[in-house]
Amino acid sequence: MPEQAGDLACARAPIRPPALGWLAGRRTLVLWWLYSRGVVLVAALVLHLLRAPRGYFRAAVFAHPFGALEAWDGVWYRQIAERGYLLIPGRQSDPAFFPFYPVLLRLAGATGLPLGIAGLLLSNAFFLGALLAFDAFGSRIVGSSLARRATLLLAVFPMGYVFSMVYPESLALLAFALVGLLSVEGRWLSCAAAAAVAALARPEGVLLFLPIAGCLLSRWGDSGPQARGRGVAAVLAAPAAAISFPLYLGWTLRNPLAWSEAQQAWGRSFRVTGVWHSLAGVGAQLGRHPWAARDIGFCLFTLLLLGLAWRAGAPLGWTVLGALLVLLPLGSGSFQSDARFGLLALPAYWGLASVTRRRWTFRSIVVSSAALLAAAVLTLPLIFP
Amino acid sequence: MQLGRANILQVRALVRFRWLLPALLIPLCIAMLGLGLQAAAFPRPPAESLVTADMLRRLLRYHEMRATENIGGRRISAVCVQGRFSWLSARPAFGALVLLGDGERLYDFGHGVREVGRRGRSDRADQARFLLAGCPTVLADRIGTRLRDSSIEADAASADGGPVVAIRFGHRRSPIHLYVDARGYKPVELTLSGKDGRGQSDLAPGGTLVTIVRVRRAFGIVHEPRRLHA
Repeated sequence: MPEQAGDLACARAPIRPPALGWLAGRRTLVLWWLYSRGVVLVAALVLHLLRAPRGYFRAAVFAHPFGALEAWDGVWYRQIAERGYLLIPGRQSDPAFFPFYPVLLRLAGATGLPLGIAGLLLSNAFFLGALLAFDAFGSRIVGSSLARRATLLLAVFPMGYVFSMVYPESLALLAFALVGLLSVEGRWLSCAAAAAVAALARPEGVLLFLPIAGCLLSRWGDSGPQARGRGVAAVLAAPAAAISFPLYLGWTLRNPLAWSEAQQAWGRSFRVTGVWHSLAGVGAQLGRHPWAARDIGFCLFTLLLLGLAWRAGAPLGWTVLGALLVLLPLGSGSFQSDARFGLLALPAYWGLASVTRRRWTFRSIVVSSAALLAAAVLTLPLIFP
Repeated sequence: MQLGRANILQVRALVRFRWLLPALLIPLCIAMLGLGLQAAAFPRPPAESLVTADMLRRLLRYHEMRATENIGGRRISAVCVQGRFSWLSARPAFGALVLLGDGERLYDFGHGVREVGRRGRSDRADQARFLLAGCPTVLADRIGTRLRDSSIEADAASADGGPVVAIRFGHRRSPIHLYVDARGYKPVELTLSGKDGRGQSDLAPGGTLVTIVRVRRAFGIVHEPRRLHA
């Protein structure tokens, strides 16, 4: 009888392709992705309709319904996808931007889609993938309940509007989360591929060697020669991929240092004393640009959350990586864009989730985050992410 | 017997460290794949854009320019000194000062060319004189703005019997030609043609301390603790 009942149950169960079945188990995540991206897109639409605040945006930015999400660095990424790289000495130029996202933009653009639309579709799709991968990674590290809350908080994180812009952050986030998941599962070749993608999408991706090495070392004694070889390859994958960028610039622009030269024109020349200058000049930065408070605040907030995550059981490699993500950019002598850089500090979301065990705390943080998310989009013309 | 033992040791060592092969080969493949992907995906910039970019890098190394301007058959010397000066305001600002041989003083601090002692922007003739002085950042700014649009032309030419590269920029109706030495991209000549003014100047980048002090004194900048370059 039980066998018959089982057969009947099987017969009644809807027949789904495995991928859809897997996705159905993560329905909540998909819904939260839809809600949070809805908030961002509606806010962008409101900006388009109001055409205010005008800020630094030209009229052309407001002409397109989602023009605000294609603005700022999105213009540069589209330009690279369209025309490739060119270093213009003494001016801000595009070799400051890493290549993988523009490569994908170019591929998507080849289908006939305008590059701006292609970028929005790609970024939002990558963000969904990132939420799914981060949830799976987190459930193996901090437990499924904390991981789920962290993923939902990531979905509505105030600076998370960047994940819907023509920026590589959502691609990098996806690659970071996959590196975490695949390294925990010991799938080193796939982990190496994800690390390579991260390092070609954002310069911070190079730092992924830290958590991968941490994970590899923790299981070195139990690994066979093949796993060790692949594991070390995964550790070296991100730096190897990143090296291909200056090699390419050397070939195409006859200048392998084009990236660092372009960074200088963007005000990002790294110095040993840069961190000190950033900290000592907080008052001056706030006086010149009150919006610097956002970056300073998020930098401190990220460090605090990383501390909480460490207490909640986040691996050391990932915690150190998270701290480096917000501290290393200070080497340029400023906090500029530090809030965006901190978005890739994955353990910070576990840290935030660890203080939201009570339902009302979680709800109030979600509501305030969503409000801040919408406000952040509405103020996009005033300040770049 | 000894040889056999050695072989066994070698084999053991190879077995022990065989993981090193994929550990090194896979990253190498990733680097090559990354390079190939970028090379396949992006178009290369035109050769003349690269030449112009190299020339700009060279041009931006100079902070002073000496020129002999020729406008309407009248020859006049000019010196351009650029840097950060707290001249117009207490806060140092980047600008270019041009002292002409007849004592005329022109400057641009990002709000257009102006003449000392005269209100408002200067006329076209003064703007042409200012431009012909060949201030490096002024030229670099004009060229750099148009470089991305591929509206710059760089052609091989000759000037004073030597090989030069002629870089054409500016508006179609009033083109500007900057001639630079073909080997080191040192600026040698600048010509203006078209409705915005006509003229030519021979350029000599760099300036002696005496020249710099003379220009600064002419503009009343005497006590500047240090000059910061762009």
